[in-house]
Amino acid sequence: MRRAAICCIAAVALAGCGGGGEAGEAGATTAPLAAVTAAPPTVAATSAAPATAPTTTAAPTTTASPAMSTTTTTPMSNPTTTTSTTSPATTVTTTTAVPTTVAAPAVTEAQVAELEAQLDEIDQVLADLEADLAAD
Amino acid sequence: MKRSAIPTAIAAIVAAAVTVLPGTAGAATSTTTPSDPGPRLERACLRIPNLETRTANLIERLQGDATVRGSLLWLQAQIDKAAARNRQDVVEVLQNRLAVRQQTLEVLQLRQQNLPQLRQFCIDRGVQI
Repeated sequence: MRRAAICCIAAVALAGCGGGGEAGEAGATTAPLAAVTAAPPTVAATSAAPATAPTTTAAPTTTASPAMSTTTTTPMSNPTTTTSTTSPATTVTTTTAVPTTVAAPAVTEAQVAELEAQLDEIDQVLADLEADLAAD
Repeated sequence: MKRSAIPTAIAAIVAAAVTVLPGTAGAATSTTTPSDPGPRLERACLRIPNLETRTANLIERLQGDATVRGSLLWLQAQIDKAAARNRQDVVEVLQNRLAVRQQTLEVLQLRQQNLPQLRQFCIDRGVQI
């Protein structure tokens, strides 16, 4: 019995010394603490993973619902703007009066000279006739 | 030699400047003239109403009856009178004058038809007649 008890104590002591032999070093006390604190992060990481997963699933809900709904409303507003573009089209027809003013600057020296020549020729015919009539 | 060379060099520079300056002045006038025919066009167009009036009055006078002095019928009456007086020389002069006047009437009628086109030409280019 004594041997068994001694052996039992020795075995316990040895078992404690097995940890204690390592615990005799300075980092032995921090090592289990780190292991304990390291363990929750792994758990927390596993718990954080589903936490990030909902956020990533929440992101498509935010992109899907506002974007699709607003883009479907803006095309509905676009046709109304195209109907309003028909009224500028009618104003464009009013700006067709611009070509009448565009035709004004198209005058060349040759055209003016030709006009003067025709007027001079008529003036000469009239002057000759007036002189002829004055002689009657 | 050097004193005589300096005045000749100055004279050459002055001559070059004189020959260059009229060139630039002529270029300036030649560029302004074709770019703005507006005043010249306006002056020409303002002659049209007077020519229209004179043409219409003279055509009316030539087409008048025998009582209108200078008309074709009046001239023909003068020819008949001269022929009745047996003034053949006067008859020939008056017949030549009548022939010229008839041609003048045709020319005036054609020009009268062209004047509205000239007037419209001016109106289309912004000249108010």
